[in-house]
This record gives sequence, structure tokens and C-alpha cells, in this order.
Amino acid sequence: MLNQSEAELIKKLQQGEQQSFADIVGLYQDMVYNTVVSIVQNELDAEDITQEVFLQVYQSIGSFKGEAKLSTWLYRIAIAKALDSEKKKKRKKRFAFIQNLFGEHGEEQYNPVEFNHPGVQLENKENAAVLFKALKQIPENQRIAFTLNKIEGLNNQEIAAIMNTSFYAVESLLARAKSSLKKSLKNYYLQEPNKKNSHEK
Amino acid sequence: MKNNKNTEQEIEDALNSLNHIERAAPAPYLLTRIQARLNNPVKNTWENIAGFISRPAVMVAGICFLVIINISVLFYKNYNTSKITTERSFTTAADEEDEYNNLATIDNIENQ
Repeated sequence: MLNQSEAELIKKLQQGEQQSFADIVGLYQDMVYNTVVSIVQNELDAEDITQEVFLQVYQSIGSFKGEAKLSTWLYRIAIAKALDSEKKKKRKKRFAFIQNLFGEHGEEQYNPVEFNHPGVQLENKENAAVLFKALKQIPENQRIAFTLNKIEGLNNQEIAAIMNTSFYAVESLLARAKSSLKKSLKNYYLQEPNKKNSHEK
Repeated sequence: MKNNKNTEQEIEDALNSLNHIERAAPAPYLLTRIQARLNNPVKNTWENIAGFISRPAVMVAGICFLVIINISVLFYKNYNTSKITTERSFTTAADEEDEYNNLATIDNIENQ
């Protein structure tokens, strides 16, 4: 349910008041950007998607009925747009592969380098980069639940509202995400010394 | 054993690396850029077309369509060729029969 200030902001925006849109952007831009950048793991793409999220908010505020919190609605749009952008990128990657077959070097530009989240503390940067790599390998809904919990700091109830599921489903998703990540990290760390040795040779 | 312990520790460290993470913030003037996009919506038609064509479903449908067209052209050509050959063979047989009948008529006339 909406609180009074949120309800007022939305009502003003629905009436076409520009200042309320600026207020909404100011209030929620970090939340949206942080969620998106954690999913797409690319700062330039995240900037672009964040803009698209607020454009959609502006264009479809008329259809917002206030059944969920404004932040919940924004999280949903941000997650949907981020996942959509990932799918588009995968399609481009496939297209680049075809270009590669015909002699053009399209593959390289779609291969992202290791991602460093700007909010991670300096001493954790290296480990966090490995964790973000592992996050890309686990199922989508587990990744979203883990991101919302660990990076956005939301509790199970809030995640359940965003993902349109139950509290217990979120609990299970988080447990499965942790176990999938452990598996993926184990593979990474067991292969890593071999890679190092082969590079040294 | 020692390796196993190290790996377990590394996994735990990686999982805990997001503790105390701070929110990332977008570049300044986000609102200005959003307003610019609101005022001048960019519509790149070619980008939209390329995006549509590179969809897996569209690509598969396109390839299927080309294969079907190729097969149907091949069948149509084969059917036409066999039809012409059959017609030709019928014509030849009919011509031969006519020739035979003519010869027979000439023979008959000569005999009379």
C-alpha cells in the first residue's frame, strides 16, 4: 500500500505536474540504477536502462493504481527492463557470431570484461568480481532474489511482493541461489590454479 | 585436504564479499538526460528492423520459408520436366503410328 507522500507524488504526476516527476527521479534513481547495474553488470547499459525505466514511469503513470508500493512497481519495471536488455544482448551476441563466420570480428565488442560493482569495498573487489561472474551462471529467478536480498538489502517479504510470489518461495529461492553459487564458485576456484600454472608455463 | 580447506574459505570469502556493499549511483544529471529523451524520442528504424530480424523465432521462420520455397520450386520444375517428357513420348508414339498407317495405306494402294 502507498504511504501518504507517495500517493501525493503520484497524484500530482498523474495531473501532469513536472516537479513531481523530478522528485520521483531524485528519490528513486539510486535504487533503480543499483538494481539494474547489479543485473546487467555493465555501467553504460545500466545508465541507459535507468533512463528507460523512468521514461516508462512517466508514460504509464496513468495506469498505476496504487495497489503496490511505488518502489515495488519501480523494482518490477527495472528488473523486467534489465532482463530484457540481457536477452537483447544475447541475440546480438548470436548475430555477432554469424558475422564472425563471414570474417567480421563482431564477437569481441559484445564480450564484457570482468565487472566491478562501484559500491563494493576496496578489499572485497576481487572476490566480488568472482561472485558477479558466478551470478551470471545461476537461474534467473534465483539471481534476482539474491541480488535484491544481498545488494539492495531487502527482506523476504519485500522480495516476495516484487517477484509476485510467497515468502516461503523467496526463502527457497535464496537457499537454492546460495547453493548454486557455491557450486559455481567451487568449479571456478578448482580450475583457477590450473589456469595460473598454464599461464606461468 | 589443505587445498579443499582453501577452496572452502575462498568460496565463503566470495559469498561474503557483498556484505556492507553501498548503493551505486548513476552519473550526474540523470533527470536532464531523461527529459531530453522525453522531448526528442529517438526512433532508429534500422535498429528496430535489425532487432526484429535477429530474433531467433524470426530467423528460424525465415530459414524454413526459404527451404520450403526451394523445395517447392524443385518439385514444380521436376513435375514440369516429367510432364513435357511424357507429352513428347506420347507425341512420338502417335507420330510413329501415323507414319505406319500412311505406309500401310500406300502399300494398299500400290497392291490394288
